[in-house]
Formats: sequence, structure tokens, C-alpha cells
Amino acid sequence: MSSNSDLEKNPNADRAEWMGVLARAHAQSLAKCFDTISDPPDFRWLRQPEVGAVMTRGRAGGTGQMFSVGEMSVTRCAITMESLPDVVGHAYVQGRDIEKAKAAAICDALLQTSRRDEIWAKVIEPLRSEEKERHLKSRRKAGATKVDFFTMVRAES
Amino acid sequence: MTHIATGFSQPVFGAQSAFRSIMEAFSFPGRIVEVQGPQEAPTGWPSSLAAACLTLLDNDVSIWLDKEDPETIRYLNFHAGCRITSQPNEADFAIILDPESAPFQQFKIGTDKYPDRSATLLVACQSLSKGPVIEISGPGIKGKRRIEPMLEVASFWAAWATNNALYPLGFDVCLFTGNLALALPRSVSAHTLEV
Repeated sequence: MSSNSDLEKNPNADRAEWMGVLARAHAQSLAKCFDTISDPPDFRWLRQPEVGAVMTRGRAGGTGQMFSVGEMSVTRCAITMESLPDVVGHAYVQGRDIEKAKAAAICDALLQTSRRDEIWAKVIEPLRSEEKERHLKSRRKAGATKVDFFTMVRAES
Repeated sequence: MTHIATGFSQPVFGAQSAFRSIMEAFSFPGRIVEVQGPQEAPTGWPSSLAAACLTLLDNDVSIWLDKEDPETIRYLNFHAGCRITSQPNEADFAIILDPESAPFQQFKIGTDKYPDRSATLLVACQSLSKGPVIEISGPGIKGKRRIEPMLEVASFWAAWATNNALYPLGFDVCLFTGNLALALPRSVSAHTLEV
């Protein structure tokens, strides 16, 4: 995603990347990584977790007409930390897992503070490599069924 | 910097209940209705005003503030996502904490074709029952009704007479104090009573 030129111009590209990683992560993996954070901060809800649906859109082959792919469920919430009230952590994550949204919002808040490197190493990096692994696996699975069509040259003259 | 005040604990039910109250207030001008507000509100705001903002404002409207402090702007951005404008004549809603010095002549009054394209003024008021006695009449009021909001006769009610004369154009006002609200749609005509 970060290779997208629009995102590179975007001053929030960095945040967009970690928000994306958190949004796509599996709930259990995020929970496991989140548990490794030492002393998670005290927080309060600015927006309680709520489950909704968003319409995903795409273009055939990435270039065709825009069309609606389908709806997906999304959970969102927002928190702020007791110690740093001007930092707001947002989460818009895939699925209906409220705990996942909470963990993602806290990570987003911490990533905006001086604890960025710690969170990046403990949460974002492992989730990102897991996501890469997942993609690779599905690509391999699809690749194994690939059929090459070819035609024998007919010996005609 | 301070915390952003939280919104309704149950956004859907909170907004529905507040909407019902505000609709009642506008249907029965001068009636004092109770508005269930959120637990917190920006500094200096009545909770009913916060409830009205959370209910009525969204990213389609632009707001004019008579006191542009960062806390209020953060609050409105977070909860409503609305645009803040510095021009009273562009605003769909105005949040007025000090009604004595608001530029009442500058708000949108709609057009002959679209009288609904006018401003709604959300005004914080010291009290709804300790001000000068005003007699109001108009649609939604059986006969006459007396109200006593804490508003200056010379500034607010003078501007109101001008506004009422513009009918069907004009702006609408909703007054807030504590957890109470009182609405003055543009159709209301008001007279000061000598006490």
C-alpha cells in the first residue's frame, strides 16, 4: 500500500499504514501482540465501539469502472489516554470483534506518542509479516492450480 | 489541553430522545422541554446544548461560533465532523454563548424560493424563567403564552421583532439552559409586557 503514490504525498501515510495493518489483522493475532505491551495506558472512551457496515469499492483490474464489491462489517471506536488527553486513538477495523477495535485504538494512540518504536516492534511489525505470510500462502495455493494453455505447433506446410 | 468531552453513552437512543424533545420544543413554541443531555459537555455549555449539537449537526452543515475556542472546535470536529465558518452569513447553525453581542442581522434567512435555507441559532441562556416577561403568540400557541428567558429586551427581542417581520423568511432560535430547552421558530411574534 505504501508504494501507492497518493499515499506517499499524504502526510499521514505513516499512520495510514499502521491503521491498515491493525484493521486487517486477525483478532487473535492482535490480541497476542497487544498482550506483549508492557503497562498498557489508562484510557477512556470517546466513542464506544460500534459495529457497522461499509461498502467496499474496486475497479476491475485496478483500471476499469468503479463498482461496489460488497459490504463488509467494520467496528469503530475512539479513545483518549488519561496521561495525554490531546492524543486521540481511532480504530476502524474489519469484523465485529470489539476487543480487537479496542486494542487497535490503544495502539493507534500509543503510536502517536514517544512509545511509537516499542509498539511498532511489538505489534505492527509482527502483524505485517503475518499478513505478508498470509498473502503469500493464498497466492501459492492459487499458483498451484495455475494451468498453462499452449498449442502444439501443427506440422503443416 | 483538555479531554474532548464524551458524547451520548448510547449514541442512537440519546440522539433519538434529544431529537424528540427538540421537535416538541419547536412544535410548541415557548414550552420548556427537558432534553436528556450527555454526561459531559464542553466547558460552559448547558448539557441540553451539547445534546442538540450531537443530534442536529453532521458533516453536511457549517457552524458559526461566537466563541471559537479550541476545545469547542475539537469537540464539534470529533463528534459531528461539521465545518466551522467564521462568516455568520454562511452558517447553517450558530452556537451562541453570549446572546447580547451576536450579529443577528447577518444570519441566513433563506430565500423566497427556499425559506428553509436559513440558519438555526442554538443559544445558551442563563435562565429560562428569570428574565423579562414576554408574551408570545403564533402557530403552535393556543392564544398567548408568557415566557421569561434571560434575554435583553433591547438587543435580542429587538432583533427578534425584525426577524418575525420577515416571515416566512427568517432564522429560528432554540434557547438552552441546564437540561432544558425552549424554541422560538420564526413564526412567533413577541411583545414585552410591562411588569
